[in-house]
Order: sequence, then C-alpha cells, then structure tokens
Amino acid sequence: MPEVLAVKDLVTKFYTDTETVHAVNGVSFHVDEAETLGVVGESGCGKSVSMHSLLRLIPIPPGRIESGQAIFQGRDLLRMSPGEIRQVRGAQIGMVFQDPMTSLNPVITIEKQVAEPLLIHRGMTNAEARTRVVELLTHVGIPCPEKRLADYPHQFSGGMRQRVMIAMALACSPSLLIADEPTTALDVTIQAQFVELVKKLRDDFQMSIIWITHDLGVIAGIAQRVAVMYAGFIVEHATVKELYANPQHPYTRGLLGSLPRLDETRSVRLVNIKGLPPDMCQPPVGCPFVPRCPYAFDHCKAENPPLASVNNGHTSACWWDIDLGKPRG
Amino acid sequence: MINYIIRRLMIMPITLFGMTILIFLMLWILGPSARSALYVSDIPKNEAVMKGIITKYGLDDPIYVQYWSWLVGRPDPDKPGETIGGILRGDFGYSRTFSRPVMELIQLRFPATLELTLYAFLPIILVGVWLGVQAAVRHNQWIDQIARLFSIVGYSFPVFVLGILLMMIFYAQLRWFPVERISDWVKMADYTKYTSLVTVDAILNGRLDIWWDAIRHMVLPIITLSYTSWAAFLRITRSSMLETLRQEYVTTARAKGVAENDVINKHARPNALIPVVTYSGITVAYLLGGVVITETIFNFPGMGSAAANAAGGFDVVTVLAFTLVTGLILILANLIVDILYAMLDPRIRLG
Amino acid sequence: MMRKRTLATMITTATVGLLVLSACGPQSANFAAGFKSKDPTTFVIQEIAGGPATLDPALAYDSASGEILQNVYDTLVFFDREKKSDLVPMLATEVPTVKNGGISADGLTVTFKIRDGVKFHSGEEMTVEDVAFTFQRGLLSAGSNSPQWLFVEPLFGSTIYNDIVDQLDPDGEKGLIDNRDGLKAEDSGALVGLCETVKSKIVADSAANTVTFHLAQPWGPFVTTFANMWGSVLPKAWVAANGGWDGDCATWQNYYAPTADELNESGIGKKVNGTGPYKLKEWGDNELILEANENYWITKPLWSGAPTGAPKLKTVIIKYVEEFSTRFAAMQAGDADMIQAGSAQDWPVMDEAVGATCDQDGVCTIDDAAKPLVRYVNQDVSNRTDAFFNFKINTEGGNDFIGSGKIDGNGVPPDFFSDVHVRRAFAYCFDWDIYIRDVAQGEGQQANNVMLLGELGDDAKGMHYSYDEAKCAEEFKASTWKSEDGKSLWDTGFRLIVGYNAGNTMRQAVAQIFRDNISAVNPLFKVESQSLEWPNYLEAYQGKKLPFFIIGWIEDIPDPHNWTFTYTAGAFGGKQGMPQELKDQFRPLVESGAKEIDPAKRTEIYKEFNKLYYENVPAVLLAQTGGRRYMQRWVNGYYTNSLYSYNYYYVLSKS
Repeated sequence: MPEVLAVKDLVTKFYTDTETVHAVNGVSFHVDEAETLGVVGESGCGKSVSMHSLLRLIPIPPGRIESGQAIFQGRDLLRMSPGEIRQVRGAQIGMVFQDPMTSLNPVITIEKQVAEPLLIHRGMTNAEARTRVVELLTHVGIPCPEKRLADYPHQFSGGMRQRVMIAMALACSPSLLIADEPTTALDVTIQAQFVELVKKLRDDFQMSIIWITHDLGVIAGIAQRVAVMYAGFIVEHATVKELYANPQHPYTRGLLGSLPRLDETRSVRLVNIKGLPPDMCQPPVGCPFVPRCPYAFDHCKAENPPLASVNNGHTSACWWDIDLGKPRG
Repeated sequence: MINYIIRRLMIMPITLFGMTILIFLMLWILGPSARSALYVSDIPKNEAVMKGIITKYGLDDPIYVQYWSWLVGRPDPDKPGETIGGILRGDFGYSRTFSRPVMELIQLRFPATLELTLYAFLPIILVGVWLGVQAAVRHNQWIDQIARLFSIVGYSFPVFVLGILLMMIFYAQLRWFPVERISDWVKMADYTKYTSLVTVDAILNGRLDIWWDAIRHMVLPIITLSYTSWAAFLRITRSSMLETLRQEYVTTARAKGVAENDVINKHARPNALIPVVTYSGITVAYLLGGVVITETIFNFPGMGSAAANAAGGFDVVTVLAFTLVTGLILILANLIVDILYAMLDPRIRLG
Repeated sequence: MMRKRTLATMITTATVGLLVLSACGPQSANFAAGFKSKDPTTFVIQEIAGGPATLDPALAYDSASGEILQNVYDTLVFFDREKKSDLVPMLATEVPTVKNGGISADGLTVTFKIRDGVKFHSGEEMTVEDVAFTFQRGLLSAGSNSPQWLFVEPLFGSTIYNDIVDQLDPDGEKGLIDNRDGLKAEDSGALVGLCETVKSKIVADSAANTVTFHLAQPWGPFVTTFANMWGSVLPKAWVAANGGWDGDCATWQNYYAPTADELNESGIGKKVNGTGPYKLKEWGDNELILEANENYWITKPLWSGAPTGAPKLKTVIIKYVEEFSTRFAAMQAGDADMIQAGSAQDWPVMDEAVGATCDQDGVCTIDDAAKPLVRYVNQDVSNRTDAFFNFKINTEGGNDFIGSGKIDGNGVPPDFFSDVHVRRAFAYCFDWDIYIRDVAQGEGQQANNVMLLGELGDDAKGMHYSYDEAKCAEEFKASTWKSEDGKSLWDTGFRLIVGYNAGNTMRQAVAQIFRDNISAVNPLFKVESQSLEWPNYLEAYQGKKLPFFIIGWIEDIPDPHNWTFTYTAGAFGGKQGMPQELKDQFRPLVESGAKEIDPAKRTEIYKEFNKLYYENVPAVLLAQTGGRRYMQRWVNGYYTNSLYSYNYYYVLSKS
C-alpha cells in the first residue's frame, strides 16, 4: 500500500527564557493510504506537538522544529514555505481538535466556519459553498442543517459541535485526517457515536487517519496500527491486535494493565505505573522510562534503546525482554 | 436582537429615574438655602428674606413634593399661570458663576465638547486598538516593547504637564496649532450657523478656511487626550488579543489554511475586541462629560471647564445640572455599549 | 528576544530624554519677533476667569463689571489721567468746586452743568432728565450688594445700612434691607413719599441745563464719587423699555434690589446703551467683545495728550482664561496683547520674556532689545489686604480652630480676641518683611494706618506696630486671661488653628508667620496653620469660625472716609463682630471726618482716629504691595490709575 505520510526523526524543542523543553526527541512513523494509525501516550509525551509540528502549527518563538523529515505526497512538509504549507492545511490534511467548545470560533456562524476552507482552497462562491456545507453537515449527521447555518457554536451540544468540526476538517476531502484527542471531551455514549461516524466517513472518503488519544480502549475500536509514545519518543509500534496480545515495552504493559476490563469477573485492583511523568526540560540521557520501569538495569541508564524489531512489523524500544526475563540478545 | 434592544430600552427609564432621585437627594442634604438657587439667582444673606424665599418657593415642603416640583416644575409665584423650574422642562436653575440660566450654559458648552469628542474618539480608539493588536501579534519583539514603553510614558504623564508642554512648544514657540476653539476672526466672520458644531457649519457654508481653523484648534487637545489614553487601550487590547490568540479556535483557523492576516483580523480580533468595547464606551462617555484639565489648559470652552469653574465657586445648581447631563450621557453610553456587545458577541445576543 | 535588562535601559533612557526635552522648552524660547502687532486695530487681553456679574451700573460692584462699564459708559467727571485726586469734566462741562459755584458755600448743594450734543449708542441725545433719572433710579434700586451706599450716605446722612430703605426702617427691625416683598408691603403713602424725597434731592433743570444734588451734610469726596463706574449715565427711556423703572413714584418698590438674573432676563444687566467710547458687541460665557463707537462725542482732549473722536482700537476682546500657563503661552505666541498674572509668583516667569521696564514715574529702560514684553513695576495700587481679629468666634456645631474653647493650654475661648493685650501681642508678633517678601517678591510697604499710604489722614510718623518679640511677649504677659485654676495665660499657654484656603499665598503667608513667631515667643503658645479646601474654607469663613478674617478692600473713592467707615461701622467692622462700645468710640470720629471740608481740620480728626485704631488694634494692618503690569511692547499709551477698574481702552493703541 502506498504511503501517504512518512515522518523520520522529527525533533521539536521549545526554548524559553529559563529552560528548554525537549518535546519531541526523534520520532518516526508512517501512515498508509486508507489506514488509521493510533498514537497513544500520556499528557505531555509529545504526541500533540508532533502532529502540530507536521502542519507547522507550533508557535515559532518559542518553539523550533530542529530536524527531521515529513514526506507527504512527495514533498517535505517541514521544509515548505508558509504559503505552501497553508495550501496543505485544510485541503490535503484536515485536523480535528480535542475540545469542540473552544475549537470553534464563538462569534462566527457555523456556515461561515465550515465554508471557509472551501472558499480558500476551492475558490467557491458563497452560494456554492453553502450547498456543499449543507451536504457536509448532513453527511456528519446533523439534523436539518439548512436551518442551522446561521447558528453559532454555543447553540449546539458538545457532540454536535464535534461533528461540525469533522465536517469542517473534511470539507475539501483531504487525504489525511489528524484527530487530536477528539473524543476526550465527550461523554462515553457520544464518544461511541462519534467513533462510528468517523469510521463511516473513513470508508466514504477513503482517507488516512492519525488518531491521537490517551485512551487505549478507543484505539482498539478504530486503528489498524498503534504507536506508543513516552517522553517524546516512540517506544513501541505494532498492529492493534499484536500490541494488545503481546505488548513488549514495560510502559505499554503498564498502560494495558491499568485498563479496567469488562470481562474481569473478580474485582481486580487497577495496577498503576509507579513514579511520575518525566521532566521534559532535561535532555534525555539513557532510557527515559528508567525511573518507573520495574525491569531497569545498568545498560538502560547508560544508553537510550532504539526501536528494535521484535516480531514481524512489531518494534519496541527496550533493552529487556520481558517474556524471557533477560536483556535482549 | 430587536428584543434585546427593546428590553434594554425599557430598563433605561428606571435607571434614569434612579439617577434623578440620587441627585435630588444630594440637593436635599444641602438644605433649603442651597436649593433656593434653583429659583433665585442671589442667595439672600438676610434671614428674613431667606425665610420669605423658602415659603415662596415651597422649599420646606415634604421631600416627595419638592422632588416632584424639581422634576416637573411648580406654579410661578410671581407670574400666575406660568410654571417655574422643572428639569424635565429644561429649567435647571440659574448659574451664579456664568450669569445665565444653566440650560443656556449647557447649550453653549455641550456642542464644543461634542465636537471635540467626535474628532477625538477615533484617534484615541483606533490608534490605541491598533497599537494593542500589533503589540500582541508581535509580542515580546521590539515593536511590542516600544509600543508599551511609548504608551506607559503617555499614561504616566500627568495630563496637565503634557498639555502645557505641548502648548509651550507647538503654540507659544512654533505657532503651528493654536489654543481655544476658534480664532478671533472666525468669531467675527459672517456665516450661517445651522448646528452649533463649527466644522459642520463650515462645510455647510462652503467655508473650508473656517473648517481648517477649527480642526487646527483641536489638534493639541486631541493629542493630549490621545497620548494619555492610548496606554489603557493598548493594554486592554493587547492582553485581550494575547488571550484570544491562545484560544483553540485560532489554531483551528490556521489548521484550515487561513492566511495569517485573516487569522488575526477575522478570527482573533472580533473576539478580542469585546472587552475593548466596554472601555471604549466608558471613554466616549468620559469625553462627552467634558475633560476638565485639557479644556482648562487649552481654554477650550467645553463642559469640563464650565463644571470645574462652577465647582470652584461652590455653585451647587450648576454642578448638579452638569452631573445630571453627564449621568444621562453615561447611561446612554452604557446602552450603546450593551447593544454593541450584542452585535459583536452572539452568545449574549441569543442568550 | 528582549531581555529584561534591555527593557530597563530603554525606560531609563527615554525618561531622561523626556526630562531633558521638557527642560529645554522655555529656555531656548523663540518669541514673537519684531514689535509690530499683526492687527493694530484689535486688542486681545486675557484675564483671570470670571467675567462681569452684571452690567447695570447702579448695582455692579466688582472690577470685572467695572472694567466693561468704564469703557462703554461715561460719567459726569473723570480722573485726570493717572491722578487719583484730580478730576476733569466729562459729561459735565466743568468740575463743580466752591470757587466756581458748583458747590455751595455750606457744602450742601452741588450743581453739575451738563454737556450738550452727547449721543447714546442708540442715537438718542442725552438730556439732563437722563442724568437725574440715572441717580434717582440708582438710589431707589439699591440693595446691600450695590455701591449706592456711597450716594445714600451724603444725600441722607449716615444710617445703619446706608441703604435707601433705612429711611422707612431706621432701626432695621422690619428687615426691609434686600427684601423686595417686605418693601412692597409697606404703606404706599410712605413709599411714594420716599420716592418724591429722592426726586427732590436730585433735580434736573432743562432750562439751565443743570442737575443739582441736595446733600444732608457737607461731604468732601462727593464730586469724586461720580468718577467711578456707579456714576455711569443711563438713558431713561431705554431703562424703562428694558424692564427697569420708568420714573413713576408709584412703582419704584417693584424694582428694588433686583437679583442679577432678573436684570439679565430683562436686559439692563446684559445690554449696554451708554455714551462711552465702546459698544458691547457680545458677551459670551468666557469672553466679551467691545467694538468702537465711531460716533464718540469727545472733540477736545480731556487732558493734554488724550485722544479724541473714535477710539484707535476698533475691537477689544476680553477673554477670561483660568490657567496662567495658557495666558502666558498666548503672550509668547503674540496672540494676546496683555495678560493678568495670577499672583506675584507668576512675575518671575513673565520676566523671562521682558525686554523693557517702566517704573512708577513712567521712566522706561530697555533691558534687552530682543525680548517682546514690557513690564510696569511698582505701580500705584488702591487696595490692601489686612487681618481682622474675630471678636466672636462662632462655636455653633463645634469649632476645631479653637481647640478646647478654654484657657487650658489646648484652646482659646470664643472671645479670645476681646482682650486688647492679646491683639497687641499678635500685632507685635507679625513680621512685615517676610510677608512682603513671600507675597510680593519684596515689592511693597507696610501700612501705617487704615487709609492708603500718602492719602489724606495717613501719618507716616504716627504710631504703628513692627515685629518685636520682646513687646509681643510683654503684651501676652499683660493679658487678663486666666485659666480655671487662676494661672496666667503666659503660664498656661493656648492653642489656635489659623485656616487658609489652599492656593491662596496671602492667607497662607499670614497664617505661617503667626505660627512661627508666636510659638517662638513661648513654647506653650501653639499656633498652627492649616490648609483647607475651598468649600471648607468658605463654610468656616461664612460661619465666622475662623480666628481671623483675612480680606482685602479696594478703595471706591480716593478718600480716607471710604476706609475709616468700612473698617469700623461698615462692612468689616460688622464681619469681625466688633463690640458696640468700640464701634461707638469710632463713630463720631468717622462721621466728623467725613463732614469736615477743610483738609487741615480733617487731618487732625483722622490723627485722633488713627491713635484710637492703633491703641485698640482691631485688625493687624498688613502691607500695600506694588502692582505690576505686563504687556507686549507694541502697546502704546498705557498708564496706571489705581482707581480704574482695570483697563481704559480708549487711551491705548498698538503700533
């Protein structure tokens, strides 16, 4: 399957007056056509920053995309001019954000907001755009959209707003949709509806999706492959089935172990990962998971393990083989 | 939207009514001899005469009777069949300081203040907001630092120091911009006065020389007022803008491929301006009430200098009349600000 | 990225830069070049804010109104240029004297020969009827705020208020003064009778073209009284047409003591119809415009060098501007020909632009050929401010200025100043040199007596007070005040607060001098000075709560009687609560001094008066401080006559 996006060694840092934040420390992944990649990790692990870096949405002072490559449809996103990247945003790559309450502009009508990418990228007239907007809103499941064109975001419920966001992101039929924690702010029942909607749209539009979340449960429902991030690194990368069946990285195991499961008959105490999230202001020396890892040994402190192949298509960045109980050979 | 305006308009008379009660209470506390100035121009020092005046004009009637007379007038004891007094009739009493009825004084002074406000509020608000947007967009860069320094210096300058300084340099020495409202030759000039606004009349008469003269006279007061006000506008706009630029919907806009200029001007600024609107309303109301120090220094015959003169001479009636007028202006300004709010922010308009 | 240090540096540099810039302003000044004015026919003067109270000459009693009246109306006689005591005939054809028969030998009849061919601004010719009517109306319209007492006293003799209604109410018990409604309720026969009496005292004779005044007592300064603003002649028909009295004895009481707004609504107070060199063009709310009367009647100069015909300055614009910097900026810009200073503090600022100085004798020297202003220094003044003791300090509602209100070291009793030793002590503790330095840049002289320096009755060799700590202490020790347990004032001490209104340098100087000097004499004497905001000061002042009344008096007529009367029986004596016994001691001297015509005999009477005043010291007489005038060098013809109400524009011109 042809690759839609290939990211190699992306490094992004933030420089402030007092310190430097090493947000993304050499991240590489790819997304194929019509494929959904899930990106999982806790808050602050660098998943949002990575995606924002792709579209160059990082505020440039204090942020800086230090190095790396992001090849999308044959061109490197990180080296495009501001004008070129603007052509990509909203047209070839669409983005949906976490909080629909604050992601929509409260003083602009729904029609105008959804129509905006059409006017910019497709050169439509207002009348043409209106027709398309109604189509899009219907497609995402908003009832009676013609009547709601002049409404404002605050007049919609949370779930509806998120649907509007999707409509907005898909207006120009992009080949890649980046969804940054789109269901985190929704209630569980709405979440499920939303995931169903996205799956349907994915099939209708034949688009690739990068789905960022910290919720492993959601990923299982929508992604084909998953990348697990910690402290600005990708620490494990596998298909969904493989990851859930055979997690290799201690962090992934910790995450999975901390999930409440419906099929548990006895009340099992939730296992949490001991320790605190890493301090992103320190440049990484050795494996960043050391302070919290039950398997850490000397080599871990000295050298940061690279992503190494464990299985077919399954990579993990760890010196320790958990199943065998010894350092990897 | 219409409903909103109607609702606000219906509340207005209550606010006005409340204001008149407060002002009347102030008159009440001062006692009958101060209140006699509503009807007579010389407050008598002779006790017998004072008692006569009190009886004649009912200054010892119960408070609600006096309030009503103050509001709508009472029968004139000297001219049977006619009414005297009553602020709703436009009779605010006689001004000792200016030797004329207060209403006449207001009619003379208000147009000057109105004209100055008309020409001042645009530079003050537009430049101040523009400075704020620039400072926010380029925040912490050198433009931001310079803009903030520039306006803090302006804000810290006492108004009278700045005014006198400008007057000394640009009037006394360079003679570029004169003081007062119009030159002496304009006062003698022959042209029809349709409104009391010199610039408007000048244009209606086709007299561009008069128009230019009036504008020249407003330059120094406007610069003084502007420079001392820009800092406040800059701060409010800047912080509001910075706040807005941090919002998710700004990132969304960028993620849609909107050009940066449009992100700032179409997406961020309308939201950022909402708090600025309140401050603008207050500023315009404050300008319309008369800016005392600026008017005194530049000898601009507006409401501010008149009120200050009257206050200095303890001319209660005049000062309270000006308070009424300023109060009315503030209430109207608040109404307009609220309407503007509704126009800018649909969350308020649609409840 | 801007570091915090760089920002701080920028702020410091900018602040320093601005300070340097503001310091550079006036010094590197670039004043109006050349001494020719742009428009020699228009004169612009900027005065302190205010404006006339009314333009009715019968009622106006302030110098702002006087300035206008002086220029738009004429009087029967006028001052001979700068001389206060010499007169020239104006609307009269000669100045009445005993020699030419204008004044009868017994001094009770004064006749003015009236000039022909004088026209009012409206075009009507002035008749003797107009002249007589003017003064009859003045008397009958009076009121306590008017200057008419100056006429009432000589024509009717001294009474309580010297107001016309005293004739109907000699003891003041009916409370008619300023009370029109009360007056109208009087018996109509009595009212008509009084009016007829007035008419019989001021008689016009159209055949002989004279107006004769019948006095109740001989009155030295009578003719001089006509030279000032209240002597302005009005046209009878115009007054009647503009809401004033029409001369009918049945109705005069309806026009008694009009309030300013009544007049302004009916016209006489706001409009002018005189015979004077200027017409009133416009009276705005902060400026007033006069325009020349092209048909002005003067063909022969009033004194040698005086102008004739229409005035040279065609337009006079008087602006009332509150802020001194604004007035001075207008001078620098050349937009103002003359300005009023706010106080002596402003003189050094204006001196920077002065290029020529003229002294009191009119001798001018050029200090700097390039500078545009000229100043007239040490000019004669006819006013003085003094400190009057408050004999009965009002304690109603509490009085913080007198502390505990008792002799206990923490206050003073309300009648503290009834003890003459206390008053003398305060007088000895006053330092005139410091006062003159603080208030007038050192240009002034201590007053000897109540009348002006050099005026008839003034005695430079007579007794007067000077700063003497020892005598001050002596007088305090001689005080009859004792504390409740019998200790003397000297051993108990007292406390007193002298209040002044913020910004008034004169009152502040007086307060501070007393404070410093009295505390130095005895540490138990605590005199404090306190700055009060104007409304608070006014309340304390009007409520008679302050320990001193520090007020000034401008002479109405150049005669000592104007001072002796006011300071004892008149306005100020009343204000300070002077005890009746003291007033009764002064009264005979005041009255005989006024009635005596022979100047030598008057001097003797006033010597007695001065001695009595010195011994009783009801007020500390302060100092006569020289006046200064500043104007552009292109203004010609200026001279100072301290009895003028400010400027007389007829004699001025611009090159």
